[in-house]
Order: sequence, then C-alpha cells, then structure tokens
Amino acid sequence: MVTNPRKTTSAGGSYQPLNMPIAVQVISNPDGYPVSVSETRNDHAASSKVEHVIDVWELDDEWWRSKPVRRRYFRLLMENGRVLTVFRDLTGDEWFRQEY
Amino acid sequence: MSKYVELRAMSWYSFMEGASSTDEMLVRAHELGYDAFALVDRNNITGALEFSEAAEELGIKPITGVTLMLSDDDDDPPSPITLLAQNRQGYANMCNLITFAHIAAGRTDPVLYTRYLPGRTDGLIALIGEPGSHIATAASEGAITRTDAMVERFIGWFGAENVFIELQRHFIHGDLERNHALVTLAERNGIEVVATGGVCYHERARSRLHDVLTAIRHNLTLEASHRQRKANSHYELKSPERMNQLFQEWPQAIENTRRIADRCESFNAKQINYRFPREEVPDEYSDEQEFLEHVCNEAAKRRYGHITEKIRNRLDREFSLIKRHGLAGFFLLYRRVISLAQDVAIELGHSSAEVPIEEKPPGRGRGSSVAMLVGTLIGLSHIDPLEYDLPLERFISDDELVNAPDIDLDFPRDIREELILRVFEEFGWDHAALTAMLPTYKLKGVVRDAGKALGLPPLELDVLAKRAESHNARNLAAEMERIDELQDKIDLPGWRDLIEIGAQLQGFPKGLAQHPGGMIISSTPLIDITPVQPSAIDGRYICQWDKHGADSAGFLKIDFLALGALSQMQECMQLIEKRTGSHIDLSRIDFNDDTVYDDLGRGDTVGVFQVESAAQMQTITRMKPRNLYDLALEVAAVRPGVGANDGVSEFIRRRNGSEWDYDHPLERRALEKSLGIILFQDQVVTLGIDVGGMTASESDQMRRAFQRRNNEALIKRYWERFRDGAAERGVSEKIAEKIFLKFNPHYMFPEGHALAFGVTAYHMAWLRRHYPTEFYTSIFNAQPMGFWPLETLKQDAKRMGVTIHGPDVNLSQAKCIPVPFRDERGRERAKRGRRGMQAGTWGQMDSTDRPGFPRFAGEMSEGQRGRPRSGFPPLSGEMSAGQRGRAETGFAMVPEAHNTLHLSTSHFPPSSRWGREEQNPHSPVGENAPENPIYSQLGSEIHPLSPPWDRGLKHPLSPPWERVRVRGNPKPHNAFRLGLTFVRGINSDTANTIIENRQWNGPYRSLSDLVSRSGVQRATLENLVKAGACDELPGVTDRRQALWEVGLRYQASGAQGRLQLEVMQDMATLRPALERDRMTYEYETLSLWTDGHVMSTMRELLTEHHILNSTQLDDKSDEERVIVAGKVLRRQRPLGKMVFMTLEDEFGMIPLAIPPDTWKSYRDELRMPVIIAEGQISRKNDTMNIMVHQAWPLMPTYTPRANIPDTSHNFR
Repeated sequence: MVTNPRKTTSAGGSYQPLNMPIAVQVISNPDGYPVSVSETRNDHAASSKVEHVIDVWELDDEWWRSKPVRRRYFRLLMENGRVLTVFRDLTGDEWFRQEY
Repeated sequence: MSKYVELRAMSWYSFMEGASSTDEMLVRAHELGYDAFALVDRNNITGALEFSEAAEELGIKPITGVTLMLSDDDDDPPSPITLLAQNRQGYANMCNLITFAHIAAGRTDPVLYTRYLPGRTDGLIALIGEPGSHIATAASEGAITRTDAMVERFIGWFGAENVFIELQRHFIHGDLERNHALVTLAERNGIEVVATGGVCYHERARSRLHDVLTAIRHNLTLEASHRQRKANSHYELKSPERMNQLFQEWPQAIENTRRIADRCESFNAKQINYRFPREEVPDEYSDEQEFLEHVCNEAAKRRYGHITEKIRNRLDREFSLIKRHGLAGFFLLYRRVISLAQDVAIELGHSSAEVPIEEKPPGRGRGSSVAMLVGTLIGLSHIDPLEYDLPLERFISDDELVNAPDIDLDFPRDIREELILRVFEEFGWDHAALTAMLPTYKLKGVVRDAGKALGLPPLELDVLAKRAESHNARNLAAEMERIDELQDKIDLPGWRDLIEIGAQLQGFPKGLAQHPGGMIISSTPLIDITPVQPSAIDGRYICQWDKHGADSAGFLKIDFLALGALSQMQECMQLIEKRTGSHIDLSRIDFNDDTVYDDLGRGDTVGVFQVESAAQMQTITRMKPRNLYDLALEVAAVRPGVGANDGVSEFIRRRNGSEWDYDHPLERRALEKSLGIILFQDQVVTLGIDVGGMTASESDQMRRAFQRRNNEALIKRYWERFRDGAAERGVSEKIAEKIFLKFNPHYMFPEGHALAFGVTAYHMAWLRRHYPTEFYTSIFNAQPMGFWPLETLKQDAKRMGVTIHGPDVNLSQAKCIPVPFRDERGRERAKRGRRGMQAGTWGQMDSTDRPGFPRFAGEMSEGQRGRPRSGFPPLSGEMSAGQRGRAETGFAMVPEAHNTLHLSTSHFPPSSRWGREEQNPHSPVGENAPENPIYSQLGSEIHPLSPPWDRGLKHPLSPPWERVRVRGNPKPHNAFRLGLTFVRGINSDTANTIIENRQWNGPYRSLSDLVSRSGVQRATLENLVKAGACDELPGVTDRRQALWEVGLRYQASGAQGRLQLEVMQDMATLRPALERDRMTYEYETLSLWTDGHVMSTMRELLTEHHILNSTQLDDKSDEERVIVAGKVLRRQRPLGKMVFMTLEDEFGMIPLAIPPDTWKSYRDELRMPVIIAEGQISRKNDTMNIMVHQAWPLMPTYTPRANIPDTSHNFR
C-alpha cells in the first residue's frame, strides 16, 4: 500500500495563510480618507483616531476573474503613534487591516 | 490657462505599451483643456508627424520626444530616459540617438549606450528618474552617493538646465516616498523637478487593454504577467486640475512643465528640414540643370531621330518646371538609381549594355510620374506622354511644390531584390532607407493574441480565427454568434472580455515592418532627419516613417515594387528568344491587333496582368476596349474610388450612348476624356483648379486630404475653400456640392499610371495570344501571382491549345520548360514506343529484380487513362514475354513528329543505355542524348559540346548534358512540362539534387535507381510517384505499385548499409491505380490534374440530373432557372452584402451571386470546395450571374473531400 505523501505537511495538516486581511470599522471623511479605525479583538472593540495619512495607493487587478481585486490602501499614523495599513475593498465597500 | 502641460504620453506607437491612438489622446487632451502636449513613444517617433498635424488642427502645441533605454554597456541593465526635442538641432540629435539605440544593440530590444551621448545632446531636454529607473530605485533606497553620481553624469551630458527629475503619481505603493526622495536629490544637485503623467492611455477604461497588451508583449497570459502589468489603472491622461491637486506639495514641478513646453518649438515637418538630394555633375556642366537637359536632349535625339516642335515645346516646359522647383538633382538621382537597376538587369542577363536605357528601361514607371517626357528619356517609364497628351499637373505644377513628386517603379522580382541591396551599397544606410509599414491588428490576430492573453482555450480560438469571415474584430460577437460551437460562449467570462477588448485592439499597429519597396534617399545624412533601424531582413534598413509620414515629411520617396507580371513577361520573352533566336521589342509590337482586343473584349483574360480579376472580366466585356486608351480607361474604372459613386456603370452607360451632360461647363477640361465621370486622380486636381479656383498644389493637397485618417475637419476646410472658389466662378453652392461629393477617399489611378498598366496588360494579352506556350510556361514559373490557382491556369492553357505534361524525373527541370509541337497522336505513339523500349530494355537489366514482377492493365493501357486511340488497341493484362517482345520491336513506333527525339528509342544505343553494369556516368552523351530535355526540345539542330573529359577536365564546371549550343527553331511549341518544384515538398534544392545527379550520372534507370541515387526523402519520393514523375521510369508500371516499391526500397540516410537488398519477394499484387487515384494523387501533390478536371469525372452523373456545364449557360435567357456545379475558385463580398463566387468546370467558369439571405442559409454548403448551386440566370448590363437560391456540397462519389484541395481565394 502506497501512502499519500501529501496527506500531512509540516504545517500539521493545513496551510496557514499569512497576513490575511482582518475586518475593521473605519469612519472616513467626505474625501474617503479614514478619520478613525475600530477593531474588535477578543470581543473587545478598540478605536483609534488617525493623526496623519502617510501614503495612499491602489490595487486594481484580476479584472478577468469572477472576483476582481480593487482596493484603496491607506498607510496611517494613528494618534497613539502606531502605524497602521488599512484598505477599503472597492468592490464591496468594506474595510480591512492588512500589513503591506 | 492651466500651467500644467503633459510631457510624457505614450500612444499606440509605443508598440504593445501604449493603449490609445494619437488621435484619441489628442481629442481627450483637447477636452481637458491642454494647450501643449508631448508625445514620447518608446524607441520611435513614428507617430510624431501624424500627432503634430492633428495637434495643430486642435490648437494644441505639439512637442516631440522619445523614451529610450539607456545603458553603459551590455553588462549594465538598461534604465529609461525621456528626451524632448527643443529645436531642429535637438530633433536631429534625437534621430541620431534613436538610430544608434536600434543599430548598436540589436533589432528587438533597442538600448542606447551612453558612449553615444557626448556631442549629441544639443537641443535636447532629458527627463530622468521615472519610476523603475536606476535613479528612482536608488533614491527610494536612500542611496545618496549613488544617486548623486548618476545625476552628475546626466548634468555632464546635457547641462544642468536641461536635466529634469521626473515626479509621477499613479497611486502606486511607494510613490510619495520616492517623490520625496527625488525632490531632495534634485535640490541637492541644483536641478529642477518636473511633474509628468506617465500616460499610457487616454481614459481609465483602456487599462484592461493595456494589461492585455503587456501580456502579449511578454508572451504571457494575464494570470502569468502579474509582475509585468501595472498594479492599477491610474495611468490615464489626467486633467491639468487633477495634476495640480496631486502635486500641490511641489508646485515647482507643475510650473516646470510649462517652462519646458515654452522652450520646445512646435514640432512639424519644417523642423525635419528635408532637402532634395543633389547630384554631382561632370565638370563641363555648370550645374545639375544643364547636365540633366543635356542627358535628355541626347536621349530624345536617339529616340525620335528628329526633334519636332511638339517635342521641343514639351521638353522646354518640363525643363522650366524642373528648374523652378529645383528638381534637377532629383531627376539625376533617379537616373543614377535606374542605371543601378540597368547594371543589375545586365548582370542577370535581362538586358545588354549596348541597348540605351530609354530603349529598354529595366523597370516600368507607374503613378503620375509617367506623365513626364523627361522621365521617359531617363529610363523611368516606358510610356511616351506625348502620344497620349498626359497632363503634368498631378505630377508637377507651376505653383509652389508642397510635396516631392511621386515616382513608382515596377521591376521584375529578381531585379528589385538586388536593386534594393545595390542602393544601400551605393548610398549607405545613413543616406538611404526603406520606408516603414505598420501592420495592424485585425480579427484573426486579435483572436490569437488577445485570446491567448486571456487564457481562452487554443482550440476554440483557432476555430474562431479560421471560420470568422470578417476582418474586423469589432464584429467578434456577430462572428461567434454564427459559429455553432461558439454561440453559447458569447456571454461567458473571458470570451466577453475578448469581445470588448478585441474591439479596442482592432487597428492597433503591431510594430514597424519593412515596406515592400518604398525607399527614401537623402543627400544630407538621413539619420539627422529620421531615425533609421535595421529591418528583419539582413542588410536592409528602414526609416521610422510609413508612407504617409514620409509624405508629410516631404521626403523624396522612390517605390521599387516587385511585379510578378514583369518577372513573368521577362521569362516569357527569354523563352521566345531562346526558341526563335530573336528578341521581341514590346514597344514596337502592333498595338492595334484585333485578335488581342477580341480576347480582351470577351473577357478571355485569365493570367493577363491587371484585367484578370472577376471584376475586371465583367467590366472589360462591357467596355470592349479597341485601343490602348480604351484599355487604360478600363483599367482605371475598376478601382474602389470609381466604384464608390457607381462610376463604372454610369461610365459604361454613357459609353454605350446614353445621354449625359456636365454638372457645370467648368468640368469640361477635366472630364471630357472620361465622359463626365471621374476615373483618374488627376481629374480631381483639375476640377479643384477649374471649378474650385484652387492652385494646382492646393488642389493636390485637397486630393491627398481625402486619403488621410480622421480628416473631417480638414475636408470641411477644403469644402469651404472649394465652395467659395466655385462661387467666384459663378457656380452655385448646390452644384459645387454636387461636384465636391464626387471626391472620395478611395483609391484611383493617375491617368499615366492607368496608361502604363494598360500597356503592360496589352503586352501580356498579346504574348498570351501569340506565344501561348511561353506565356503559360512563364506564368506557371512566376507563381504565386495571387489570382488564379494552377488548375485554372492549366484549364485556360488547354483552351488556348497548350498541353501540360506532368513532371518527369528524367525530363523535368526545376521549373517548367516548353516542349515542342507534337500532336496527341504522336504523343501516344511516342509513349507506346517508349514503353516498348522499356519493356525491351527490361529484359536486359536488373534481371535479379524482376522475375514474377506483375504489371497491370492500368499501366499498360492508355485507354484506361482516358484516351483510347484508334489504331492503338490498348494492351491489357500482364504483358507476356511475347508482348514484351513485340513491344521491344516497338522501336518501329517512332513518333511521327520529327522533333520529339527523346521519345524515339531508335536513337538509343540500347546496350549501353540502361544496364546497371555499364554505368559509365558519361555514357549517355551521344548524338542525341534522349534524357535531356534540351535535346528533346530542340529538334535536330543540336550541337553538343565535346564532353569535359575529352577536354582533359577532371571536374568540369558545368555538366556536359547542359552544354548545348542552340540554333533557333522557330516552330511553335504547344506544350510544356511541369518542373520538379511543382511537386509538393520539393524545393529548388531538392529538385537540383535530382537533376544534377541525372546530368552527371545519367538518367534514372528504374525506381530503384532513383531511390538509391537521388538521396531524397521517402515522403518526397512518394510525392514524385503520386505526381506521375516516375511513370516513365523503366519498370514502373503503376503508381500504386510504385508507391509500394518505394516503401520497400527506401532506406533512410544514415541507416546501416546502402546495399540494395532483394525486395521482389515482398512486392504485393495491388489493384492498379485508376483514373480517380491519379486524380487525387495529382491534386494532392501538384494542385492540378494534368489529364483532366474533377468535374469531368462526374459529368455523366451531373448530366443525368440536368445539371448544366458552363458552356450550356450562354443560350439561357434572363430569369431562367438553372442548376450548375463546379469547383469553387473564389468567394468575394465587395460591398459587404452580396457574395460573389466563381465556379470552375472542365469547360470554363460560372459566376454566382449569392444574396445575403441565401448565404446565411447555405453558408456551410457554399464553403465546400465543390458545390452544386440552383438559381436564376440574371442578365444585366451585358453581364451574366446566377442568382443562387439553394446550394449543396458535391462530393465526388469516390473521393474524400480532403483530396480536392480548396484552393479558392476567399473574401480578400
């Protein structure tokens, strides 16, 4: 009997995706720039205000697939001194945090 | 006025990189309020002139520039740089640098090496630091020392005031950081920054096309080209306001765009500064003008003997025009080119140094240049303009000369190929270049390239590309709708994208290619006025303008065109000269030969240059030309520009006597010759002058304006000018409009061109009528000619009394050769006689191979080949010894035709001819070596030279068999033998191998001998057998049997041992090849059936079903219902509605007209190679068509479809 060599992996049976987007709540100004970002961790919601928008960039790709990628990223300096990267999914109008 | 000027926009001339046309870009720029704009395509300035002309129309200042890849050497990865031309000097330097980028680094990936920069930067502004460049990357990394050193080098090359660091903003990760670093870098080094849009398309919607183009450029799919594609769709042309907003942090970057734009002069053709070439003249002449006049006067004396007043006046008028426009150098340059062509013609044996150039010009002028007598006298043209009173205005006018006059020259193919190289040698690539051509995307290319990028299944893409009828990718959805397998895919993802993006890609240029023969020559270095790059063919160089660009730049353009018809004519003349011993001077033949005009008037014009198309045939039968000018009118009439206004029908109506009048009396001078219809380009110019009150050059500009793309505004201006001028001459606006509406953008011939082509057409028709064998031999050899398939030419040759013999390994040359007159009976007897010989010699050779070798009735009986002859009862059954004996005594059956020597076995020295044991390679040299076609062609007057070994030569330079002195034999030939290269799979090298072996080692004595000696591949041998080229080999009794034998005897080269093994025991008894087998074999290997026609095999059956042949239609009346059948020759849809098809049967052709509805219902049937069609006779204006109602495919009962090759020409 031949064993299936792919049955187990060093990751213990499944791949762990890295840097997956995490849903956040964002309040934005009329220009669409984030003003504050709230995140729920362990059932605890934490909100932080944006001090400064460091950079803005966009991804617009894979338009030929059933789910195209259209995101506007913001690199933010929060008032607590933390640097945070969030994006707005332009196809569904939701916000996510994702390091870039 | 906005401060921002866009200084970096790429158009579709940045091949596979820019996703908008120059016009789309400019129209958008105009909408957004730009008043200056720079086009900086990658590696070329092909779009610059078109761009500048359109920009000036829109009130936008055009700036021209280029983006190049810069590198120190091959080890240094290249980095982009953008150059903008400030002035004429900058433009010249830019052309130089682009040229060096192309020449130094190779054709596909041009790179400018930095060593070319010093001394070539005056007048240039350099934009550095674009995203992805070394500087931008190093600046983002914070590598201060490195970036400073880089900037310092640029300052050294260009000067600090001419180097700007580029800031771009596309919402790409890292944009801001990079821009901050670049601004600091600029400040540190004392130079300025400038904002640019890095524009790749005019609107965001084009970003998808840009992605697809990127994938195509890298030969990847979209999925696989993630790294190559842009990350988002923000590379569109943004408004100045938006750019101000994006760069509000660095206002100086915006202000600098305006400063740069102000420093750059408007780019236009004047900046190119082209000057007509100058020629050096002998010391005794004061200038070019004097020398040219001397040359022409001398030639005129030679040509006319006596210079009449008419000739003097014409020459003086032309001389004065040439002087006024400074064109003497131009004509002398042409004279030099013509002399080069003459040298080539002499070297190729087509001409002789003793014949003055004007007597036998090496090429033939076409186009308006034919109107110049000076042209005729320097050998440009073969038409005497005095004879036809050709007007000069279209070619050269009294007033300002806006464009260089056009001169086009047609040459036989071989002269042209050599001439192009000779011109490069003579002038150098920096003074002479071919014009470029821009192949563009059409439906097939779109489906293949974009479909692949989108990752669609290749098999389905192939179906779409092959079965689509339209060439326009905007019709993709409709085409898919029509194809059953693809109908349901139209709305699927991927396919939907293909339809959308395909429509956008339609018409996009794919790259720069070489124009077939347009050349520009310059006295000043060409690379100061246009970039030059190597073409795909070694040793040739192209400039970066296509013919429109070269026209706009005012370049002197010479078109060297290869005309297959001239190659054919040349060979035809040589064959006639070889046979008759005398040269025919085509300029002195009878131009009023009724038999020739009868042929033309009947539409009996297959193979006749210019009048052989279906449309020409239909027109010529209605016009029935009776002289050369008639013929020129006919040639000119079948042009899109004439057809567009229904001009042809109206012209014929008027010619046939229907009443007409001018729209205004002022039309008279222009249109008198052509009964009030515009047939020639020149007439548009004359109408502009006479009715619109324009100057000659202005009117010629108007004519050209009609042919430009996106010319609405331009045409509107000319209309207003025409209307106002006409009003001053008392022409009402209504009448002026009526006349103006006759002008259209479609092509028409100039009058001189029509005459030149008319004369060539007459020459061909004359040769066809009087020397049909040579005519058809040469037309076969000149293939491909693009019109009729070989089968049709063969049928036509038969109708003209010319027989075509199939190829023969022992008799054929590589090309077709005429063979002498002999009647069919003689031929039959000859065959029989030879068979007798073969059977006889069979007994003397190869005895080990033969016992038990069966022979078949199919071979032995000519009757089974279709033509039993009285007096020659067909032999049948296996030949008995006695029969063989009789056949052997068949030496008596020497053909009666006295000059078919090769068939007369009585000339064979039998004991030394075929026996393997006597393989003296030179033994066949005798009085009349029968296997050599030259001997057989020439009758008794042949004089072989002494064989080389007799002269003590070990390795003679040419084979003894070919060294024959010929005395003329004026007897007409009426047959020709197909060359070996006509057999599928045999190129000239293989053919020459077979022939040389035969020439040096004697004829092939058997199939076995051919297999072992010729060294050709098995598939080729099989094709030879199928084509009938081995039929006459001793021992070959049947093609099927011979194929079997090839299989047994063939040993791949390199296989162990070349020893012929005994194979007879493996021979099988096969059914002999029947007529149908030979037909399919020959269609398969020769694309024609020498002995018959596919339709004749079915005739009996067709007649039983009341299906008519082509000859039975003549007496059918209008609207009568008929059923016909034939092999499809062509399908055309000239106006996009009715489909016209031509069928062929064994007697002639049948024209079909298929209404759109019928086409829709019977498309699949009508696309089969052989069809039956039912419809009504339609007779209109002396033409006949069958208006088809129904169609069925016709399968020869025993022939699989694949064996009747579909050689039809479709929708071209």
